[in-house]
Amino acid sequence: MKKLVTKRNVLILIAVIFFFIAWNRSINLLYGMFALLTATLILSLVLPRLSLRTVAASRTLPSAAFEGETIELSVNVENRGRWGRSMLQVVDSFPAAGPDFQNPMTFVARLRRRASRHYTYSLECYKRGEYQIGPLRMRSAYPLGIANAEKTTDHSLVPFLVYPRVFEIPSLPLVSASSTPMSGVEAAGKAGGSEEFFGTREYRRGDSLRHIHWPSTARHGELIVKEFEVRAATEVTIVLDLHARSEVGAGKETTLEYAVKIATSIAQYALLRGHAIQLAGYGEREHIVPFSRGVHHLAAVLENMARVRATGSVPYAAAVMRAADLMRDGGTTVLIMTREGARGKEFPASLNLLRTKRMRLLCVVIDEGTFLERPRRSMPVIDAVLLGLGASVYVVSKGDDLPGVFAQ
Amino acid sequence: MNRVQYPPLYVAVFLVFLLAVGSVAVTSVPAGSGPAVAIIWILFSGVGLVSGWRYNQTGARTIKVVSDGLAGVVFVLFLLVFFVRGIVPALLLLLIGIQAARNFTLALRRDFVFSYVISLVLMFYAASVSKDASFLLFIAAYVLAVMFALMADHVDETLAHARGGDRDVLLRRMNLPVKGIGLAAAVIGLAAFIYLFVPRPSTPMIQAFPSGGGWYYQNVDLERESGRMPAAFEMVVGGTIVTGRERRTSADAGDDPIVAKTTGYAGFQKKFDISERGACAFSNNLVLYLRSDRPLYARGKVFDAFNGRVWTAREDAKKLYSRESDFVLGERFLGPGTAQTYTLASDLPPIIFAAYRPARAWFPGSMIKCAQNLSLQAPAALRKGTVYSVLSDLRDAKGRPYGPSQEPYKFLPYLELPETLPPRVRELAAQVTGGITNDYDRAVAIETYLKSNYQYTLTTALREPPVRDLLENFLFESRQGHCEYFASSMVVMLRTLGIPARLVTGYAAHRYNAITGYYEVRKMDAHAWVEAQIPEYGYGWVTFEPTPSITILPPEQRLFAFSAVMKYFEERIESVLQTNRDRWWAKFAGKIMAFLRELWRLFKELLLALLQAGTTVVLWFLKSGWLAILALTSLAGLVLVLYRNLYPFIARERLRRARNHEVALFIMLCYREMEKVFAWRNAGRQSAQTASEYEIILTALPRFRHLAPHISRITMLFNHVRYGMTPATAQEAATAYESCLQILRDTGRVKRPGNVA
Repeated sequence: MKKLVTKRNVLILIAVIFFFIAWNRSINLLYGMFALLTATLILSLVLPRLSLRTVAASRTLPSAAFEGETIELSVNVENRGRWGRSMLQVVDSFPAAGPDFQNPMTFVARLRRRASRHYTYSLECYKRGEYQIGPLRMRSAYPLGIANAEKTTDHSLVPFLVYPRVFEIPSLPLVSASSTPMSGVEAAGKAGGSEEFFGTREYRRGDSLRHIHWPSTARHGELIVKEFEVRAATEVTIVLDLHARSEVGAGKETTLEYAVKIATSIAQYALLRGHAIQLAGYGEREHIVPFSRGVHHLAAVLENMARVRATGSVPYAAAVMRAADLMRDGGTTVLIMTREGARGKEFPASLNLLRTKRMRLLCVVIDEGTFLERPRRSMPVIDAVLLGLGASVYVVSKGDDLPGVFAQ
Repeated sequence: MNRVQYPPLYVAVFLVFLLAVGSVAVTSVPAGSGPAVAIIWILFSGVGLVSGWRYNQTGARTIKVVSDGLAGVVFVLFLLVFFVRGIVPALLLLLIGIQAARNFTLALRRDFVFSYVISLVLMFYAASVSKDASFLLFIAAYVLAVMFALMADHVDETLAHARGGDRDVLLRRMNLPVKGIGLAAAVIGLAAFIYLFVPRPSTPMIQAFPSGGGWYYQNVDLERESGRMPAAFEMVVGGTIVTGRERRTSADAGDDPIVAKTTGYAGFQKKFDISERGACAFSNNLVLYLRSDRPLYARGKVFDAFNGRVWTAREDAKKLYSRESDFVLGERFLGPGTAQTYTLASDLPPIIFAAYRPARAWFPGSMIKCAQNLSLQAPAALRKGTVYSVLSDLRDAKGRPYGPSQEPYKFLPYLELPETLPPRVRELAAQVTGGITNDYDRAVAIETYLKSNYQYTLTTALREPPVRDLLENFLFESRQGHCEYFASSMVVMLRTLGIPARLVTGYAAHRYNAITGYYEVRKMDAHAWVEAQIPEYGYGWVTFEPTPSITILPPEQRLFAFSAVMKYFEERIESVLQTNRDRWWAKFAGKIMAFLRELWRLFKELLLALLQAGTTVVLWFLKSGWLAILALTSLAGLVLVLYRNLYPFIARERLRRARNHEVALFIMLCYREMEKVFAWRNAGRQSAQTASEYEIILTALPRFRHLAPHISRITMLFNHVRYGMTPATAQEAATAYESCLQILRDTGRVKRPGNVA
């Protein structure tokens, strides 16, 4: 409901009261007060409109940022008129900011005729997501501040992505000691190969002659070769639960936000260590990021993670089964789910499917009970099942220190 | 609420409060002590606001303690003043004192809003009690201060919510980024326009009448007669509790020394010599403020016996008592009547001035006296500041005020003539009214005669009167005199004709101050006029004004203040010019005034002529013009409808006849017809469009899609004829004709331009 008690309305009421009292008692001086008040009101309505007539503003901002990051927006205000302007306000619509800062206002105290002003200001990106920034409006209540005039100076909506916050994971068992690396993977300790040099050893049959370390050979009188550490890498598939009922909580403290942060952090961890990452989530639309390696792949992951919404109707078990089709045997599957999402008769079947594909399971179970208005601990039934299958299980509750959870 | 960040806001509050307190001091504090009171409060407020700014910055607890302590002191003072002076002064002190105390901790925006409200209440009170036109300057200054405060508040509010921009720059600067002088001029100019032209309907006076206050006149006779003193030291006067006021005991009402001392007008004495007027004749001092909806004669004393030189008032006044200070005079009057509220601007004799015929009076006392002729007396000489109200049954007889009649037997005293009356006075009266049988017309004839043939002067009041009969000397020899001569002459002449008449003295309240809304009565307005008993037309005692240069002003509608303000300033300028009429600049200004007056007269005549012309046109229209216009409009509409409906046939006929012409011309004619048809249907071709572009636009419109083949065909043929290399054939002409006919047939649903199908 539009605010009724404004300066303008109060002054109008006072003017009306003055008029009626002056009329009833025939006090001419009160007519004088009424006239002065009315004149003030009229000018306060007219002058702001005139003030905005020949001014325009534009704004630039980066195209994306991380959650919690402070970005700089730059504003340019221009006065094309013949007269100077004062107290011009520039009001933006920035839904990516916190609840009290989504309509940031900046102002120019005085702008001379045919002049422009450029300045910057900062805003913190509150929550990850995909936003439309704008439109940009100009507002004036000059000079009395009684009534506002407003015009939209830039109708365009600028897309802006806020990536989820990523935290450092100390360690994650993406590859088992006994697992045999599959395609695209080399055994550790192979002479030559790729990655880092970490020592020498005696020549073995089959080693490439290019890798002979001649100084050591001369010293020892036998062939010595250089040895490189080849990280054992695997293909990691992260499956998110994007069912509408899976999101519990409010604001930034929801199961989905936690899941997205964890998924992104795991993806970063894996990509930095040479693993291939694939992402799968089935919301209102499919969010599939196919396998790729390298840090550059993180950008695609971040973009998708910024956009995912828990608006789907695909149960998590079904999502896992669909994602299984994308997996190659012997890789690692990261399941990020709530306990509620893992209920149902189909979930064990999906786990069985992963087992037949010889997938290593890494499960992050988010206790949705702790995200309720009246927090409670949900029954860790699925935890036992997953542990029984040999999966690595991490349990996350609201408020947990996420790096600490993965350090255990 | 946010903390204030912008220091000029404190300066603004200081100015606003300063003006509010100043205005209250000017209107409510006794003269002489006003400046001292204002200075004390200014200093107090100034110190408080400086402290408030410090409190805003530091939040020092000591300051809060001081502020709370001061508020407590103010409350104690409020109680004291309440019991000593009354509720209104106590409330004023409370408001001012509380705000001054709160100034010490003025930090939040909410606190500033509270201070504005208090200042507004103070200004409202001062404006409602002030009767001085110069108070308008206070109001204007206050509004400018409020504007400054609003501007500073706007800057502060912006600073509170801004995320960037010039925020830091503005915090470092103290001056407002505003062109204050221009804004102030714009506000005052627009306000003056609104003030002059906002309509002011007649006031309903709901709970606004009567008014009373000022001094309270206790009558000791009442207590003596009733055997007891009043229980409490208070009386309710006009709805206002009057407590602790000095009581004026009744003096012998009508003591001449009091009259002479207070007004200097001889006409307010029990007996007065018409040759004496008194020093008041040349005094411009204010005596009364009158609130009324019309100019009027405020009666003071009524005289019936005349000996040729001295008038004497009959002593037949009865005492009227009322505990509620509400006195009913004569029969119960149901109204509406003419409401009058008198505020004394100086001491006056014990006379309650009122217009004839007074029906009810609200006087701050327990007793008044009322004569048979309805002149009213107060129990004691009146002091400056006294307020009383009267409701009069005041009617109009052809522009003259009159009051209803009394019983006929009461007229006898008003027919008495002086024993030494010269016969030629009687003859003159008969001569002036010869042939007139109607009493009203006879009175008017005498009035007109005196106005036209005699000259008004005040010099006769200054010199020693002739020994001979004053009236005879005035009527037949000197032919000049002051208003008492004129009034006395008319009364005597009317009595010689058997018309009861009496001389009335009082004040002519005709100087309306359009700025304050009061009639300002000055000493020089003391006047004598005539009341005559006219039975015709149901009149009673009718007022006559025989003195030249004074006209009876009928009630006027003051819907807009413009005319009244102009008249007010004109009178003031005239008064100044008259006073300095011998100076060169006054003569020059007088010429300019005359020129402006003439210009204004021409302008009004022009407006009047235009108005008359407009009225004539309107009357003609109402009488028969509307019929003619209706007929013309109908005819035009009929022609348009017929043309629209017949046009396809006309066009087809035109095309049919043109078929025998040259083929190329015919095809172009078909295209032009097509253009006309679509222009009727609000889809005309723009001048910059080519034929092909036009075709694309037309065929894209859903309402013409069914005609697309025909449009395309005609356009193609038109282009061929216009730009092609080969001549058109008869077959092509026939094709164009057929297509055009199809389009024309479709115009059976032709709409008027502007209506989209």
